[in-house]
Amino acid sequence: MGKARLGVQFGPLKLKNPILTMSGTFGFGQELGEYYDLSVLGGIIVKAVTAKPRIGNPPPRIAETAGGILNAIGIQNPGVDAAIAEELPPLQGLRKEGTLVIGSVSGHSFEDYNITTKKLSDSGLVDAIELNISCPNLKGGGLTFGTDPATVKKVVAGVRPLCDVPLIVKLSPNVTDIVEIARSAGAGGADMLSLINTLTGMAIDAVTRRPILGNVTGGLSGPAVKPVALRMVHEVSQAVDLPILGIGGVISGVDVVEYLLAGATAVGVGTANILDPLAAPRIVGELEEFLLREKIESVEELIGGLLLP
Amino acid sequence: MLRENAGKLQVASIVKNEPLAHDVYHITLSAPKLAADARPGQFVMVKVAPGLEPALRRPFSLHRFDGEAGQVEFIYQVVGRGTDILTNRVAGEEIELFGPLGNGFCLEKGSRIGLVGGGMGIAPLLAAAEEISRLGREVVTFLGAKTGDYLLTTKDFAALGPLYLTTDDGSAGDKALVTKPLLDYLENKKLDLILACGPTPMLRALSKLANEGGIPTQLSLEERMGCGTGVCLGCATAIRADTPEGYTYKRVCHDGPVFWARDVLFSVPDKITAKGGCDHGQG
Repeated sequence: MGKARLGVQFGPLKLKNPILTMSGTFGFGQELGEYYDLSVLGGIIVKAVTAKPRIGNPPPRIAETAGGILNAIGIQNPGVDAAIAEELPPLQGLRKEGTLVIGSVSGHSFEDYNITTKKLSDSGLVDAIELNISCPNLKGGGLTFGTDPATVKKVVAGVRPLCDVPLIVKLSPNVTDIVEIARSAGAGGADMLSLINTLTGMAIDAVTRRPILGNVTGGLSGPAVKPVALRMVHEVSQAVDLPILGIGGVISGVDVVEYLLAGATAVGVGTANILDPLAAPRIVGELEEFLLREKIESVEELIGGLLLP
Repeated sequence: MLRENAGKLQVASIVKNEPLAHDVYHITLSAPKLAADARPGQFVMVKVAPGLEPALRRPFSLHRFDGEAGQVEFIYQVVGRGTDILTNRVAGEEIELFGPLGNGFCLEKGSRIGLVGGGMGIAPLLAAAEEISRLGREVVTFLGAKTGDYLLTTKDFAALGPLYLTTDDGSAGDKALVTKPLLDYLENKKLDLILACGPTPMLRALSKLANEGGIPTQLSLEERMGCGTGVCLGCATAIRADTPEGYTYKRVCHDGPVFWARDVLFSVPDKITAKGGCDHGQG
């Protein structure tokens, strides 16, 4: 039996395979590192950090829905300084083994994004930074970062000169036209795009007549969102010339293939890590099996290979 | 490539799965590795059926485990889709378990240990009672429930030490809250340690009582759970901490489910829990 080539070139980054674990479903790698050797992964995107520590939302923070999960964690994190001092150093061995460590930045103001991005970039502890612009509240105003094209361009352009590593901008699906947002991120200076973040939703307890989540609304993820995400990856890849990290409901190697065909270069595993601690390495194995079974020599042959009618 | 914790994912076979009272079931599984590794107060995530319906595993505290027989037991109440599906699983079928998880009760100290259980919170206390007896220490148990039918497995507790029962309707034991016989007991006798599990109002009352009385008390907490490994931060509970807010959210699955009563905050100030900022999305 031959061996399929799993490596991909994701913008300026070389990935040993296209599978990345997603921020918010993987902590800082420590917990699931006790279940398997993380060097099997193309990379990990660690928990989003903010300029100051964030305590997170009141419970309940998670609700199960058909084919998915709603969450409203609220970016609970120790803050960028503690992440640099304590959480990222233990991951540096992974980078030597060719598994990328990617930071994730969230914020509440342009200034927050700038401070956090600069600190993470200057730390030298990450191979790239993902900018999470899906937060709904801009300090002092009703604007949102991820859903207004001009704001997207402004926040990305703000961090761009402060970021010496490749910059991935994570797009919200809660918009009328994701292509417009993708173009704005590109115009601001994004090197790559990741999509989609969670879809805003809610769950209600019919007996108590209350929302299940302490935060009332939350973000939907899991297999339920995959068709939406695939469509958005397809649309953006047709319109924007930036490499895409496709995210949404990936639970198998075949799901990864579908995202590659839709135009993604790398593929995220998120909710699957919550459903099964061994999901990510299993998915890497299933991707390789698919390639061997279909006699595909390199995973790169699949990227954007969708046959349209 | 796999590391030690991967062994916590294991396939068990159902030995029996029977109703205990109304909507409460008692399931026994053959799971030798789990039975050998478990400690009282730990929990297991059960995949009630293969596939995605439902997608998440359900957390159940260990009611009892027997390393020699290679068996574990859980008591569960039908509260939704997952537990409803579980009632249809029959002896001989295989089921995926993930555990043991969590810290469990700390039994290092205490020559006379009190157990306080309310409703379904009675379930994990039997494993603790059996362990305390094995260690040659005294166990005194206080159990409360809505009605007598929900005073679960009382015979097993009675075999191990003094047992005090209460119900809300007086259909069994005293018509009182479970803290009543505990308070009566403490008028004349001493407990070195209290272990408790039950509904929040019970735990809150018990915490107050234990903190005022200076009795070290451990609470086994429950919260809606996602991963069981600590990565999703879903099962948060407010724990006193040296932060600007005065508390931090700890993970019931990974940092608990057992916490010292003196550290648990049952409510946090409104100004802190008020919404603001990044309230959804990849969090």
